[in-house]
Amino acid sequence: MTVKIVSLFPDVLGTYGDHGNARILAHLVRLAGRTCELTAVGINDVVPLDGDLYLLGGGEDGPQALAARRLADGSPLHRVVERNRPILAVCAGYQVLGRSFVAEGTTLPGLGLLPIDSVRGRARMVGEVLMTPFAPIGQSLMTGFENHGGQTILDSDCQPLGRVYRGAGNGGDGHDGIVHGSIVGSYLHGPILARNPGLALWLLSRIGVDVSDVPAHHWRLYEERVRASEGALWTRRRA
Amino acid sequence: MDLPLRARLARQTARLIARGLQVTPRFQGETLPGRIALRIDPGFLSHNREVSMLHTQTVLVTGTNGKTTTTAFIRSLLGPSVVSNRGSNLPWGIASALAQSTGATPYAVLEVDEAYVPAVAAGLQPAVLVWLNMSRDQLDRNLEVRRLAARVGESASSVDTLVANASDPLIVANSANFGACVWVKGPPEWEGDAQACPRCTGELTYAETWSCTSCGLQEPASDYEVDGGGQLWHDGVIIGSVHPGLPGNFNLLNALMASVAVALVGREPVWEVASRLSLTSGVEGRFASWWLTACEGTPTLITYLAKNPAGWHANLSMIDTNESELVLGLNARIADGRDTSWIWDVEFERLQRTPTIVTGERATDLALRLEVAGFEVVAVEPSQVRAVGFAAKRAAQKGRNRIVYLGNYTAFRSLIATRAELGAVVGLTGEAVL
Ligand SMILES: [Zn+2]
Repeated sequence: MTVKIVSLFPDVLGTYGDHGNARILAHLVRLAGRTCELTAVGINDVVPLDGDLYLLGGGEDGPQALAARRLADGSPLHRVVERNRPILAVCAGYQVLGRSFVAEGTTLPGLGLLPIDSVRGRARMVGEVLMTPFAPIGQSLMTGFENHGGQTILDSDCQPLGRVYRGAGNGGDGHDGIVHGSIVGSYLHGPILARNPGLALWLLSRIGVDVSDVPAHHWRLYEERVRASEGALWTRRRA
Repeated sequence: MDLPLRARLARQTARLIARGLQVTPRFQGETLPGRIALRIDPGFLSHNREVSMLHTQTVLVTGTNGKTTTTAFIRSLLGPSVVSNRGSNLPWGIASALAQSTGATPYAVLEVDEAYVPAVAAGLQPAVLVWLNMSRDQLDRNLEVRRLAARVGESASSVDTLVANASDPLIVANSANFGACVWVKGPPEWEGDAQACPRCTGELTYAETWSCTSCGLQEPASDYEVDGGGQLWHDGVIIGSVHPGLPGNFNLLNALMASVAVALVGREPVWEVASRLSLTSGVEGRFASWWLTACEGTPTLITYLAKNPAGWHANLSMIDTNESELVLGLNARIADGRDTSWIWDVEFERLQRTPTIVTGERATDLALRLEVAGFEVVAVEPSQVRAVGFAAKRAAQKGRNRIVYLGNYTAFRSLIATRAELGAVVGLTGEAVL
C-alpha cells in the first residue's frame, strides 16, 4: 500500500530546509520497497486528511501566523490527531501546534494540540544542539541546529523529546521538544531527520513501515555531528 | 578646502597601513586600513563626502545575490577613474577604498552589505542605491530576511534614486519612503522566498506579476525589463539589448540594473549604456576557468561561487554536466552561516542527475542531500584539492577535459587559495584575483 507523506506549507514554513524531513522519509519508504506519495501542500491548498504522516517546518513570524490561521480553518490537523497519525513539527511549526505563540510582538492562539505555550525568549537561540532522547529511537544522542527567538514552556506532566547538553532547546527547562501522543515537536533543524536517522525510523515504525535499517552511510552525518559536539557531554549542564 | 584634521589623519594612517599591507594577503589589506581610519575618525565617510567627494556621484549596490558582479559591471561601464571596493562590503572595506582614492573622482561605486546600508548611505548620500534582491542567506547570522529588508528601507531619506527589482515583494514592501524609484524586471527566476505578503502576511498570488489579495501590495509597473533573450524593453517596446558576457538569467538582470544606475549618474539613455556593457572576464574568480597543469590530463577547471539556495540552483541549472565532472564544495564557517540546512532548499530534484564528487568541511551533509535527490555520489572527499585531483583522474579515464566546481563562500575561497597545488593557470575567461 502506498505510504502518504504530507509536508505542510513548505512554501512558507520552509525557511530552514525542513522540507528535507519529508524528502528523507520518502526516500526511506522507497528503500523499504514500498511506494511513497510525497505531497507538498502549499499555503493556499486544501490539507489532505488521508495522509499517513504529517510534517511542519520552521519559518518567520509572518508566515507562521499565516500557517496558524490556515490550520485553524476546518481544523484538519485535529482530525489527523484523532486518527492517531504522527505529526513531526519543527520550530515555528512546533509552536503553532501549542496553545499560544508570539509573532511580531503579538500573542496569537495556536491550534491547542500540544499542552505548551511559546513566549519570546530573552535572546535569540542559535547554534548546534546536542541532546539525549527519552524516546526509544535507537540513538544515544541527537543532534541538530537551532535558530529561534521563542521559548517554549511545557505543562509539568509532559514528556520532552530530549535533555539538552549543548544549545537551548525549549529555552528554559534544559530540554528540547515534546513527545505527546502522535505528535513529536522540536526546535532542531538540520533537517532533524537528516541528522537523526533513528528518529526517522521510529516515526516510520509508528505507521507500520519497517525499514529494518537505513544504509550505513546515512549514519555518517549523525556520527560526524555528534563528534563535533561531544565536548558538551563533559560539561553537562544542570536541568 | 581640505579634510578636517581628524579625517586627514585617518586617511594618512590608513594609506600608510595599506602600503605596509601590500605584501600581506589581499583580503586583510582591504579591511585593516579602513578599520583604523574609522577608529581615528568615526565620521570618516561623511567627512570624505563633504570635502574630497564633493563632486563625486556615488552608487551603492546591495542585495543578497550578485553584489560583486553588479558592482564590477558598473565599474566597467564608468571607466578607470572610479573609487570602488573589491571584496569587503562592510563599512571598513568601504573606508579603505575611500582612503586610497586619489583626489576628486567623478564616481564611486560601492557594494554594501544589506545590514549596513543605512549607515553607509547616511555617510555618503548616494545618487543611486541599486537593490538587487532579498533572499535567504546565512539566516543564523542575519536572522530574519524581512527585518533585513526593512533595515535597507530605512536608508530612503539618504538616497536620491532607488533602482530596484520589481519582482521582489520584500523590496517593494520597503520602498515606499524613497523619493524616486526606477523599477527593473528580469526573466522569471526563483520565487521560493516570499509567498506570504511581507506587509500584511496575506497570501501573494503570482501570475505575470505578483500581488497581495489582502492589502493590495503589488508589483510596480517596470520601467525597464530584460527578457530571457537579452532584449531590453521599455513601455512595451524593444529599445535595445543587454549582453552581460556572463551566463545565467540573473546576470541579465544584474547587467540591466547596472546599466540603469550608470544611465542615471551619467545622464545617458539606458539602451546606450547597456549596449556598451560586456564583461568577458570572471568576477573575483566567479566563472573563472583555470588550466590545471599539475593534474592528470591537464583538464580545465571552471569555478562557480554561490552562497544560498537561489544561487546554487541558478548556477547548477546553467552548467552543462554532460561533458564535465561535477564537484560541489560545502563549508559552514561563520562567513557561510553555521547551519547547512539550506542545502535541502536547493531543488536538486529538478536538476539533471549527474554523478557528483562532494567536498569541503561539510561534504557529508551534501552527500546525503544528493543521495536523497537521486544523484550518484561518486566520492565524499573533505579535502578540496584531493577532490579536484580525483575529478581530474575520472575525467582522464572518460576522455573528458573539463571539471566544473561550485562551492559556497569559504569553500570557494579556500579552493582558490590552494590553486598552486593544482598547478592552476588562469585561463582565457579568468581574472587573477583572490
Ligand atoms: Zn499584503
